[in-house]
Amino acid sequence: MKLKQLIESSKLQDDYSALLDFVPYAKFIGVTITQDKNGWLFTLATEPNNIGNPITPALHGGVIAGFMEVAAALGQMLTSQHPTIPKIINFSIDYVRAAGVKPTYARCSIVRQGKRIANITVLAWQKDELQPIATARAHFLLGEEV
Amino acid sequence: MDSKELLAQGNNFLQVLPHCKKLGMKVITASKGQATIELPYNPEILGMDSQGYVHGGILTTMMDTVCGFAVTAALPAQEFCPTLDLRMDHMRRANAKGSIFAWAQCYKITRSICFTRGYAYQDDPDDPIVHCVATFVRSGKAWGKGGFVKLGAEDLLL
Repeated sequence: MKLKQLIESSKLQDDYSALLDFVPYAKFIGVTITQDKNGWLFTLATEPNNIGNPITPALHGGVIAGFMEVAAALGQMLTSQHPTIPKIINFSIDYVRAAGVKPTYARCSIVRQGKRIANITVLAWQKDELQPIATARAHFLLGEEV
Repeated sequence: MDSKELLAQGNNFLQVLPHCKKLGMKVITASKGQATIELPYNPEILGMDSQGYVHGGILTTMMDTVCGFAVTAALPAQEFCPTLDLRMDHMRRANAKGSIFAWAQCYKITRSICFTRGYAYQDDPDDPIVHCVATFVRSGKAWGKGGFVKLGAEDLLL
């Protein structure tokens, strides 16, 4: 199935599992997508294998970053008029609070969608959207429509 | 601690971190303030489509782990140092074949912050996949019996 059709049918059915099947890593860490009044909401399930530090205990910082990169890429694709597979150029993350082993959420905003490059920011939180655990920014190179 | 002890400590460390264990990461070189980690290929870590490249999140996970271990290998005690921030520059994609290697160095330690840099590669260290810089916060505490304990002055010496 063409990417555009896959995205459109996911939106139409409000079921993003086929889109997530497209990204093995997203399934590996346990990402799901839902839609609420504020847009797409990305959820990272509580998964013991995502723990980085078993003592505190805390999620692995790399998993939080990977989750936010998945959210940024899929958020860009879901919003784009002409979806392509975004290629990561760079990714920067600030960890602002400890991340416990519990469900984690992320939302992204498209700061700028150019012809070739997209700039996306992502916010991740656990208990309260107003108390983020991390903020991130990503640049993607946009390819040919597939 | 000499290189052999650091290597053993690093591998014990990765065995207790569930996500690193699941990914099968191994420390292959370690010395004062430096380390290299190897990650074996696994089809579950691929990015979008069947284009056959490893997801960026896996590379970030490797860099966070190896930079964190470089900090441990630089400090006098087992001080708890969470990541403050991390930046990745992706120069090319990691192919879905063979291992990925990540090297990092803790190049500066102050009383509060540890500064690290590193890169990841597959076949050739001169043709890196990503470059990374990351900073870690010194907590002045280590995990001891019954919880975190404050480190003494001798353990906080640089």
